Amino acid sequence: MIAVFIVFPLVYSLYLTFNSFSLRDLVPTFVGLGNYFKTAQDKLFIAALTQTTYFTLLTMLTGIPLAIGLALVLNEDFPGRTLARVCLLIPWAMPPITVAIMFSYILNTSFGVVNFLLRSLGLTATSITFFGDPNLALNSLVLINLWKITPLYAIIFLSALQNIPSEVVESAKVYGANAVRRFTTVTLPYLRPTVVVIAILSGLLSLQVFDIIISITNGGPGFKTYMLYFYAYKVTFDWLDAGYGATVSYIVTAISVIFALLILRYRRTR
Amino acid sequence: MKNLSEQKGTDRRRFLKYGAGVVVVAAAAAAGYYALQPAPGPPTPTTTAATTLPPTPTTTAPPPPPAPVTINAYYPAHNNWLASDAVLNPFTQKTGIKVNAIVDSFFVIHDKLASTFASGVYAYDACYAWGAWMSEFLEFFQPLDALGLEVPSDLKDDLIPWTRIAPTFKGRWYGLPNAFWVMLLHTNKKMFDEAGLEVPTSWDKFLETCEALKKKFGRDGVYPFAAGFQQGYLFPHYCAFLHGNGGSLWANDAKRTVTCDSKEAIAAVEDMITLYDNYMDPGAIEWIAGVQSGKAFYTEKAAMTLYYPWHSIVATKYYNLTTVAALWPGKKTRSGSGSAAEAMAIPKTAKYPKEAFELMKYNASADIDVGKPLAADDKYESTWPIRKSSYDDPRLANLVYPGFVKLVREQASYRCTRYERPAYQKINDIIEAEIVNALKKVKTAEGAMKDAADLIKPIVDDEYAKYGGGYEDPWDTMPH
Repeated sequence: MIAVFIVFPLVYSLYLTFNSFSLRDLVPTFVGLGNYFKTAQDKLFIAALTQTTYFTLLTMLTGIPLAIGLALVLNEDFPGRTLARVCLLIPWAMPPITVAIMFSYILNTSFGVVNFLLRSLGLTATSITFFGDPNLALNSLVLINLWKITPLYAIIFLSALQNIPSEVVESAKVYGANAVRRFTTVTLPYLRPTVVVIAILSGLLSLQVFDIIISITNGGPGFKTYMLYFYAYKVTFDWLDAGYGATVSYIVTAISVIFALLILRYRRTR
Repeated sequence: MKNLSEQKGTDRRRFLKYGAGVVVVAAAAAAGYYALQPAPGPPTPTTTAATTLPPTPTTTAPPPPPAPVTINAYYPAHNNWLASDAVLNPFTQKTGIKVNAIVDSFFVIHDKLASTFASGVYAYDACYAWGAWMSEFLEFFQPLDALGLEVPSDLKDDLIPWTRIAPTFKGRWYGLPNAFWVMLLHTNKKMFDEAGLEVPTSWDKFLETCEALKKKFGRDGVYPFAAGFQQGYLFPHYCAFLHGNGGSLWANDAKRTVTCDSKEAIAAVEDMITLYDNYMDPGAIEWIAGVQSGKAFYTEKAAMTLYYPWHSIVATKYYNLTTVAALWPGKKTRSGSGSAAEAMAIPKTAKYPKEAFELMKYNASADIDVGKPLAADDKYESTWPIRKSSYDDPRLANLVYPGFVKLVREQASYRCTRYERPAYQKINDIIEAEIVNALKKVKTAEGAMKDAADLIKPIVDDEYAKYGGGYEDPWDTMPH
């Protein structure tokens, strides 16, 4: 099973990266590392790489603090806490395509509820084209991605918070530490391993984002939401250059592996 | 250290694990082997030698009916009338050929064709392709002459020139056309009458009309003009603006060099910017093809729109609007437009190519051709006739209003080149992206189109090296 569904595709696609292979004629021509060198001069690949890096970093740097904040709130005792914890998983449980379609309506320029509220409250005079404005489209996708994945991270952080020994927190209170000091000196050190795990998870999931792009922006406006996996798909199936598309896929995979190893190494040295 | 019993258990588990793996791999290999075998041909009749002559029959028994054949035919959803029982049942009754119609949204067909053809398996006998995809997937289609099939001469002579591109590549036929689309300007008569306006016949008058409509209806949230400017189907709209500026997207050289940085090509983008900035819903940058722009037109949120003739049919039939359509007003020429011609072709993996060709001839026949626009309703998007003679058919004389169908035919007499070529998709995607960059002020029109030209140049060079250029443009031989 592994040989058929994992090993063979991996090996075959690696073979393709060393060939010029078009889906127009299915005739491979050996080009060595030509496809890899081509990425260095390919403006669209460079744009996709830059935008993927921006998307990943922004998701991580915003999502992790947000998730910790949510976890801290859910760790407190308040009426409806159980219901809140359950509802928190709904975004994560929704299929990505459903999330994409939902937000394409919510943020729609002409009839979206967000634009309606903004105009009704007098905050904007005209509607905002969230997905049509090159300055906003990528950030809008980050927002959607955060909405979907942050709750899961919050649940993971919540579980970590609940494993912090209560006597450590209590003794910090006895010594007069305020909430901020308790968080920085007690809670955060205990959360550090979880932060590493979430950082890797967040980074890997963001590097691989595809569904919200293909459903909402299809790479536009302009090339502004071209991301690496989307670009690999576009090159392979729209432009029929399977050899180069495989190369882009492998580069993304290599970046993902290096990213995970770097974070783990950082954690070990700390 | 394991004891004997544990060791035997381990050995047994190892045997089962690897044994199962071998079985799965062998099964997968066998499946792959059989999948890659060529499709079996029709069964060869067997004869056995008789030892004695049979008695001479006194009556001649009728020959047995041919075994029923079912062919797979692949249609886009916007041609779904052709895939309907209303069209296919009479075909089956007449020919005995059953058709298994497979229908997909246009926007997924390209990727599906890429995967299907790459797999090499049998999927279709008659397969949808439009001009650009015909040249892209050429290796997977069979030329008609190689199958001993001929295009009926009455059809060849009767075709609207733009439709010839769909099933051909450099003059060689791979199928038959079955659909044609050309963009028109659609206007709302009631709104025009209220504003005291006439349908514009030139670009300057068109801008004046936009301004007057904006003054009259702008306060009510109504826009003078609507069009789908989202990437994905922006290029056909762009062609209308380009041809109205007297431009061409390719040079008249063997390579068909893309001239998206010519002054006409840049002027076309500037015209689009003018409309988008002043007379269109800002959300139009998120509207794909004619879906939302059509809705805006039907619900009178826009007084004019640019799209295929279907909009006037739907507006009239389902929204009780009175529309007046017109030639798309050109700036440097009287008119020019964007078009699409579609066909069915025969893949190399087809099991029943001759039967598929019968279906194609039927789709191109006069009665079906005339039936295409007549079938337009909320269920069938409908396409338009491919035959010149269909546009004179009395059955279409009063469709929408008298003269509407002749207007469609007249629009098709202006430049509607769609620039179909093997690298069409990549060129199209780059140009659309840069037009959007210009519309949203990331770049100027000139900067955007020059960047597009830089990105496209190596693509065209590669394409020329592989295919030798010389792609057909019906405009070269049309009177103008």
